Amino acid sequence: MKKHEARAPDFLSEIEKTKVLQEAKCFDASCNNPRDCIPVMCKVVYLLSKGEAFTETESTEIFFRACKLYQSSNPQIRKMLYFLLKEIRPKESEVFMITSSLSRDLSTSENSYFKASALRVMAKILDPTMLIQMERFIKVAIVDSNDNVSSAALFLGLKLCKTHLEVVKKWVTEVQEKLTSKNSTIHFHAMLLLYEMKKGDALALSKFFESMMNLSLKSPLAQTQLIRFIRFSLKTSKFETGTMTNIEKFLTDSLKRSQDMVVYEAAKTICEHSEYMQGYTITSALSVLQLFLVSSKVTTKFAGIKTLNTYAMKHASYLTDSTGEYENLLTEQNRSLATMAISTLLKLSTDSNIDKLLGMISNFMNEVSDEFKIELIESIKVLCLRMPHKHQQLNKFVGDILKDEGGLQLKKIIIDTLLQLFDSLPQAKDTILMTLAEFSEDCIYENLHLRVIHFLGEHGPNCKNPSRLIRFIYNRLILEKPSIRAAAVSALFKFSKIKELRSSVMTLIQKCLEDKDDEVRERAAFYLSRISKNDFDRPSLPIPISKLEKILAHCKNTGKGFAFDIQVTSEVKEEVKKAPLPEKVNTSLFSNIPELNALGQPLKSSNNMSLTEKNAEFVVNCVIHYFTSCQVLEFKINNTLSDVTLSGVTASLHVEGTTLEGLLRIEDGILMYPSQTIGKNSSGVSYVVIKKLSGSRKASVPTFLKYKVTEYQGDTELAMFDDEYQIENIPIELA
Amino acid sequence: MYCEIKGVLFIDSDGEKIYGKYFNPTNEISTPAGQDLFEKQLKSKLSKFTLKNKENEVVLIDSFTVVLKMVNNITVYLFSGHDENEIFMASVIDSLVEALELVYRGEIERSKIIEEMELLMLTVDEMFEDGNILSFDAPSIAEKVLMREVGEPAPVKTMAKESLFGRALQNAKQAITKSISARK
Repeated sequence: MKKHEARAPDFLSEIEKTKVLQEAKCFDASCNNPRDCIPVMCKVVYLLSKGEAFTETESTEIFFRACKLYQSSNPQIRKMLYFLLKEIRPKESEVFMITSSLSRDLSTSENSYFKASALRVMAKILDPTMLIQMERFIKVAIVDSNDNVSSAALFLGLKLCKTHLEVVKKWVTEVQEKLTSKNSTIHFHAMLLLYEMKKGDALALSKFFESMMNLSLKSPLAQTQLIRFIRFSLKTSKFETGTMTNIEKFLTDSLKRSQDMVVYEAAKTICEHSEYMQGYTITSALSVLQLFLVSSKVTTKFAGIKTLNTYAMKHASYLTDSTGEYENLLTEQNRSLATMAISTLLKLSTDSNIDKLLGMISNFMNEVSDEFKIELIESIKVLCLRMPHKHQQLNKFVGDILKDEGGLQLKKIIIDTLLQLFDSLPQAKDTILMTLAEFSEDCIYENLHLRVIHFLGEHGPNCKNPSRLIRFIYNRLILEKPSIRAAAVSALFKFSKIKELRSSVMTLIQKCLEDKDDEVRERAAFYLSRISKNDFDRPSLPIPISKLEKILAHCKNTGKGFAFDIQVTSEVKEEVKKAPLPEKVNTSLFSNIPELNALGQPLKSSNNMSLTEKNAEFVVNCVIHYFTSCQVLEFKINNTLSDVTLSGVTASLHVEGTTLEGLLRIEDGILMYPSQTIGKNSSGVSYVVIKKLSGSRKASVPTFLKYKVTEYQGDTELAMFDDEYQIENIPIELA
Repeated sequence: MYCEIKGVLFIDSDGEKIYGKYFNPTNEISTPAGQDLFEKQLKSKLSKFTLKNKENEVVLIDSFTVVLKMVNNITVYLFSGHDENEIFMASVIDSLVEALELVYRGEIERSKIIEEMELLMLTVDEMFEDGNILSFDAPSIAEKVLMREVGEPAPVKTMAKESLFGRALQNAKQAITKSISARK
């Protein structure tokens, strides 16, 4: 495998697709020289890893040439060939060229390395027809005495679980045999496969965990993985008390193991599910994590502080004794580590050390990235709510960050935080308004600026010193763009509610009558006339805004205009309902639910997603409808059984453990509309409404169908009970 | 849910990518453009670091946790989701580098790797299957790549043959001497 020619320093940049395709012709030669073939194979893989796109013809060409290499008996070429075949990913129509060779390798080859590699290639290309033939070989390969072959077969099984679980489940005895293997990696792989087989059934899973915990697995990787499985299961299902006690004991024992990764996984699990754990267990986990903070390895320290930080979000009180260790982390070279330490300290700080802490942090702020600043802001908000009397200092701190350079996302989050604090802390209202006013002096983001000015207008008049705010707003009138000036005029108007300021506000607005921009002039004139009429209340429209919006949308869609008249609008409403809509959207989308109907037409509807197998008892499909303020998930449930009826069917979204955790909760962000009764052999529909969140998040959310089942024999009711079952995860995207 | 890695990157001291593998990439890193962007972000974040040779470092980029190790003039990066066990990732990167050292018979550095790039690619392939860990300990990874026990002499080496013959000769000599002295 040695190359004897010296490589030029920029060898990699010399690799070029057309040249490589030419060089690949050497694969055709009958006496394949590894020295020629192997570098070419390397180059192909290198190009693929760089993201070079091969056209269909080119990939087919490479694949066919590579197949010829199968004839070579050189082991190095063969090994590289298996790897190349996996990287090229042959098309379904081409795969037949190698299936016979691969099957031959599996059944007759003496070389166990070839056998194992062949199994791995098979995992990438296996299709259902092949599976029937190969099933026997795979089963035999699992119990092969050679560990590599066994591993590869187990992984093949793992991959097949997604599509052919029933087939894989037949191999359970063979897989269990491998659990007791002396080779620690094999029993790890066997455990993975068994988990996939058992995870669909809660009882089987529970038994699986019990037996695994008793098995005393040798491999630290297996131990870590087992704890991970338990952690995830605790998020979605409850175990019996007996099992829970065993789990807790197992986790406590795991804390004492010699391998740090196992210890860490156990500590993390205990902290995340502390509501199920005894106080003593939690303390052990926390002390272990605190020990990590003084480790010599950066990764260990990082793991420790990360989990402690998350834990401190909800249970800061357990951690307040040992802040010294966190302070030591502040001087770490690794800034992520230091920032996390700061974030934790903020959560744990008390009256006495908060000022010192804020001082330490401000020295540090210019080195930290926007993402961490966002985290810090979040911690400061929590702190503010915990220590309202410190709002002055915290406000100043936040204001300083606002003044510094930062991206739109950061500033937006700061403004959001300030507005939230405004609502929660009445004593901080004035300071917050001042911070916002100062910010408006040099905000560069237009939408944000408009928002701030509007807010100042809304709430400024109620504060203690409105005239100060007026000065800030007035400066906007002189200095800024037209849209900002227009907003400033509106804001100023709101201050005219206050009698003492009315004449000064009028004078200021009068100056705007000469403004260059017509929107500003019109607003100025409008407001001046309202002031002179003493009309300060918000004007009301004769028809609700939502209806107005519908009519305008209809005009836009149909392209027809008409003279706008209040009386006419009620007639137009009827027309809107009767006129055919340009897209094929179901007009009575949410026929039975008025609140959803009021949302109007969705901006977009996703494709139909099927969430169960087609032959399941209850077939569930989902369509997501996107609106400006929310998303509506429409679940169509088809009851294929003729002896049960369902009622009150809902889809329960388990956001814990996903990126949406904490952002959406039942009744706070998630609204559920259960279905009506679904009769035998019929379907029904149920809705879940998810509110829109700021920022962009994506998650694949585990979903459970929950319902009340009534079993019948003929027409007589036999039983009625609640039930639930897990369906496919739903991809939720909030942007 | 699985202890898994989402990708491995090998980048030299000039910032050029020698080899990279993304396992089941999703979202932003599923396209070559997205991957380029990710690698650029990685470079810029690490420009502020002074890395110590052969020590692990950890860094957060986007929604990924990245564990890295600089070995001579190559830096190895391993990244996974932000919720992954960092200590596990550190063990994985340690095993990977150890395996590479076994396979390349000594410390790794850029020119050695480029000369026999197939060894690098095969090592990564033998360690990970779709992001899951196929082999964890370095000797077994190296064994699979080289298709022989590591530490064994290469199959065709005349020196070994000679010494075998030499030993056989020695044994024969000893046997003869013994039998002669026994007869005496």
